Amino acid sequence: MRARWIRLTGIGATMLATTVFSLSAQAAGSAETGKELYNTYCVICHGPNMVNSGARAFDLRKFPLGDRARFIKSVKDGKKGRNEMPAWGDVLSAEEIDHLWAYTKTRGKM
Amino acid sequence: MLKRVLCAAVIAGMPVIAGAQTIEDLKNDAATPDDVLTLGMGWDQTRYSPLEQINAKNVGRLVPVWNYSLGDNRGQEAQPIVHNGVMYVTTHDATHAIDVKTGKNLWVNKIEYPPETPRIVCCGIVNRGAAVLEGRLFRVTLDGNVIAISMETGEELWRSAAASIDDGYSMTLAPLVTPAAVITGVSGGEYGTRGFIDGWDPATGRHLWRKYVIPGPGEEGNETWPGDTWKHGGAPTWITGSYDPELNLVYWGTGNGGPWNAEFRKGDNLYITSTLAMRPETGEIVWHYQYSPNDPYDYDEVGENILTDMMIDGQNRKVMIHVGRNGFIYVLDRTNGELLRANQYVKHLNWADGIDMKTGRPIDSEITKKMRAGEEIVVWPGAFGGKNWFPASYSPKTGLVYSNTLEIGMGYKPVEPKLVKATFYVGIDLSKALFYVKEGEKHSYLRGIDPLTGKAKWEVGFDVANWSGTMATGGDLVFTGAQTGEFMAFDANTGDKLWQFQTGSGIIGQPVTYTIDGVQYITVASGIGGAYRNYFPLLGGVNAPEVVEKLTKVQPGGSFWTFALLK
Repeated sequence: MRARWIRLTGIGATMLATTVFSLSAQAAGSAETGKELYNTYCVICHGPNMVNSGARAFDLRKFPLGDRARFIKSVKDGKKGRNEMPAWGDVLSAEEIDHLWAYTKTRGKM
Repeated sequence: MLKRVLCAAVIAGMPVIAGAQTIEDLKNDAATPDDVLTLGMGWDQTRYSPLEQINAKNVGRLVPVWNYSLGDNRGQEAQPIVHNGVMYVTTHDATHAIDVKTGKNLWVNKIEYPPETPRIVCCGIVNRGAAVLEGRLFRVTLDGNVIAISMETGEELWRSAAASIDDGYSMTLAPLVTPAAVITGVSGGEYGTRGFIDGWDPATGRHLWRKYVIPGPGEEGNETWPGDTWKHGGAPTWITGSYDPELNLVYWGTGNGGPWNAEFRKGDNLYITSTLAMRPETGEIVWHYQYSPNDPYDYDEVGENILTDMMIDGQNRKVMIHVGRNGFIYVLDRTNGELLRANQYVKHLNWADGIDMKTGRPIDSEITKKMRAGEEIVVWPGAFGGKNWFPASYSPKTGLVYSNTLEIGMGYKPVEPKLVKATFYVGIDLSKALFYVKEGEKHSYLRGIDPLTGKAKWEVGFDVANWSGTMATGGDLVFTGAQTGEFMAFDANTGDKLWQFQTGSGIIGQPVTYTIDGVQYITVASGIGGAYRNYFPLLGGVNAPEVVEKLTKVQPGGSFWTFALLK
């Protein structure tokens, strides 16, 4: 019984390690490259160094940093509603959006 | 002859609607205040109504009659059209017909555009209104189409593609109907475009002509552009022109050069920042006047060209008044483009030392010379201009031009521009492009300006800049709105504020007035949006946090308000 528990724990640990590894691989964008992309495509709505009042565009300094999936979906497909945003999926590659995510995580302080 | 005309009408599929608005009706719009059939309340775009039922003595009794929700949170800059008791209004994604007496919806026509579109629209997701002729309503779509809609049913009749968002173009203006063609222009001067103006057949949407307002190789004026710079040189044509039916000339304005950094397009850059007098049959340019050759400051001169006659130096002249974004107010002879007057109307202006009346060209100031040598400066007026898109009005009764004006400077550091599809192509350091307002002064002033001197007979200041059109009436009133929601009436002679009403959102629209069954009504849109709200908090917030706070407290939500005197 005990041996079985240990075996299962081992499998769980391996799975956890794999998950952590793939998460970090997905988030391996460069904040420096992200800043360059930001200054080309995003700055005109979200503001230099992400500083804006939130009147025109979402204040990116308040973006929940645990929600990478939401960030990627918003950039790719755009958003409807109060914080409406155009879609960028045809211009920015998945890799470039990862760079933007890396820069977003700096809260504009770099 | 009559038979031939009728045959042509049948072949072209024109609907025969009783009381349909004809070219003659459009021509008489300014003289028939029981309807509003054209942008500017007349082809001459004076935005003056002789109506005086509502006047300086009784305007205190003005009350709302109805409010119509547009179900839309974008900016509302459209001027309504009013015909036969029906009001036609536009938003960025819909056209509505409203019963003027009840304020109830008659029909709505929704428009879809790709979700990528807003990324090439710099200055507000808006539409500025419709044009009408013989039962058809014409409007543009944000993604570059011109469409016709049945005024009776709201059904789409035809759709023609004018421009593509993939190339950086968008469309926001009201079309202009002339006897020869429905005329439209394009937006996109910040996105590496090349401006043009199109003529369309009103019955079928067939493309009649296109005039690129930056001449191509072999055309006169192309030599004012080095190399291939003409291909992305800007000159957008994003506001509706005016029309003189006797001279058969359309007066259409053009916008900024692209990129803003003018060192990368040395030369006059025809026809940026110009008024073009054009033939509506072909788009042929009969004369032009360029306000700011090689302009580096985003001084679009697309704003209204007001047509009137006035005594100048003892002679009665057919003139065109233009309140320049560059801070000068111009009076031109509209028969030939001769410069008659050019005077500063803003308080703060440092980019030029005046206008040379012999050549018509501005004289570069030391500040501009420094900037051209690569130095960082603060330029007055900044890129918003002394006046932006919002139209001024002119009262022949007072002889004054009524305009919301701006006193906002901007940091300007030229850098090498980068041409990337669907992105800002400006060539200035945006992190340095901060807006400034002088200590103790206001962002904007509503001014009653003498067009011949530029001097204000009166002015009223506003903390948050006004971004709305004005309307003058025979009742000695001037109407305009504030971005903080107030719709206001001022005494046309003194500037005294006589009345105001708090609407639900900020006003950036264009007021109109008309009568229904002999009763005078006034209508305006409320619904915040537009360039100042987009950019002032972004690029000027640090200099005026209290103004940003006031501005960002205003909630979006588009609607139309209609007012009349309390019985």
